[in-house]
Amino acid sequence: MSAFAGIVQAVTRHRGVVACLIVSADDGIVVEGTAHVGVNTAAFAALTASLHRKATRAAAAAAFGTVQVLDLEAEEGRVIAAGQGGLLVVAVTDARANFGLVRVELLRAAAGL
Amino acid sequence: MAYATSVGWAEAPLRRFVGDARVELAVLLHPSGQVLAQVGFQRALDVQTACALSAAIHATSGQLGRLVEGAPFRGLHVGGEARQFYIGALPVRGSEVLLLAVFDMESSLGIVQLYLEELRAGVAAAAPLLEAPTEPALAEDFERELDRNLAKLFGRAE
Amino acid sequence: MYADDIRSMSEALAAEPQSLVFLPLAEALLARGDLTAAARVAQRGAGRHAMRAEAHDLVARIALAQGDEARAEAAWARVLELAPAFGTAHRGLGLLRYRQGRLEEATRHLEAALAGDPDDQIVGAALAAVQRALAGGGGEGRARTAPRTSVPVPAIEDLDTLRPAELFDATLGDTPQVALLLDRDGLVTAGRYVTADGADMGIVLGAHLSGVSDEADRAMRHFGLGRWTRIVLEAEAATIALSPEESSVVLVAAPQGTPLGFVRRTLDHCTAVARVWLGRRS
Repeated sequence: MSAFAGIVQAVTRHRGVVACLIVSADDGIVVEGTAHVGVNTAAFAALTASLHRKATRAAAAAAFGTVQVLDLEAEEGRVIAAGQGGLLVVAVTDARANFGLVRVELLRAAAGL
Repeated sequence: MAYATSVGWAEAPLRRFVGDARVELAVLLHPSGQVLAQVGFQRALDVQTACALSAAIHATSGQLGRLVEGAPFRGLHVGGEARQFYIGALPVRGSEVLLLAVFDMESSLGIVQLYLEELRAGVAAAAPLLEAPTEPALAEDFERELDRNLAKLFGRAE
Repeated sequence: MYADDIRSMSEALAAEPQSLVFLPLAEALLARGDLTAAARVAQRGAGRHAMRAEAHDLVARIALAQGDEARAEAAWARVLELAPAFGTAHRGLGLLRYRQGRLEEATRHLEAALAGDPDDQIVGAALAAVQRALAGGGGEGRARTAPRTSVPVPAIEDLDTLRPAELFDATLGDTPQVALLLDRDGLVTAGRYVTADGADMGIVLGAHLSGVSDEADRAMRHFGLGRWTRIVLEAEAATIALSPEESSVVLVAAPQGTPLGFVRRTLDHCTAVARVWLGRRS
């Protein structure tokens, strides 16, 4: 069992979470993760990491500091990412998920990276 | 013979890839080093140089893969200070073409790999139908072609 | 409404996108609880038939069902611009104002709604409660005078007199937040962000954060989650929230420590204001 399996398990036990990925922030490559069938983990990893990088550069340019949580809300679900040390914990949820709970879990997970 | 300009059918899928993946430079080439399409290079000589080197790197890493695990490595990623590159093989209709992609922080290895399949499908759809070879190309023909390209690169006449 | 009826209406709409069949189709989807599809059909239809009050009324009712009060308010405001006596719009706005504690506005709308349908018992009860609250009455049935939000939205008629930089001033009030409306190139269309020493940070913020919305647009093509509706970035020193509005992006930034829900609510209100303002300029 990898070092991150516990983190992934803790996030995916929340209702509505369809994928949890540990992603290399710079490369956008999946390090560890689990997902429902049909979820394109490579796409979520690469594009969420890219979005996070862009957001981080934008926040830094505006002197807002580093981005600790990124929350992308869409019509049919959500992508939430938190991270440190070059890694991101990315949760993909459907519309049923309790955002507040998942967010708290992700912050806890990011602290453990 | 090395092509300094793009062969028509390969350019559109490569441009789409460059736009989607936001890479700086990209070349599609035959494994012998012949350019099929390029985007972003300033000079024809740079294209030829990149093609010859990429083909050589791919051939070398392929041999290393055969040595280490009995099958050629399919892709190589190298990260630099401000830029990275990826060289990968795209299987197309029984043969393969190579991709060299150079990118900075606007892209990433994950993004390049994400759009690689779309590029492969685009190239496969656009590539003109080639006659199937009646016998496999001899390895020495390929190496002779590659050597010729490298000789041009390093200025040694044949 | 049976599934077959919905299917045949969908086919009719697909064959002729300009047709008004989107109205009964969206109603049927709303009745079935398929709110996302209903919203999509209604919004597209309202876009094609922008001068039809009932199209915007449908958008508003679906938005309310989705819990998007800001979008509902904006759509009903548009209805009343087109048809000042439209009963459902007065009803909807009256009830929203009642919940928001804006009792005088609620009275005007509820009276207009009751004039159109004197038998509407819900409107009658709400009007009675509002009148008691205004008269200082208490006890059972007392109106909820505590506003659901402390972020005011300017009256629609004031928008035309505002300079673009002032567009969000009333909505933001004296909260330490900033709001900008950005075009597709990240240029500031309305709102302002000027630091204490007079530097215009709106340009910087807009330029960098518009790249985030572009990135989100690209990502959504691969995610299979529909369109993005909101992005919130929690940074060390600030919380930044973005939402798309037509080809523009609304941006709100708040100091770290501002409750997330409050930032999101501010974003929704600013987006509603931007929607109306842009609509009046299109």
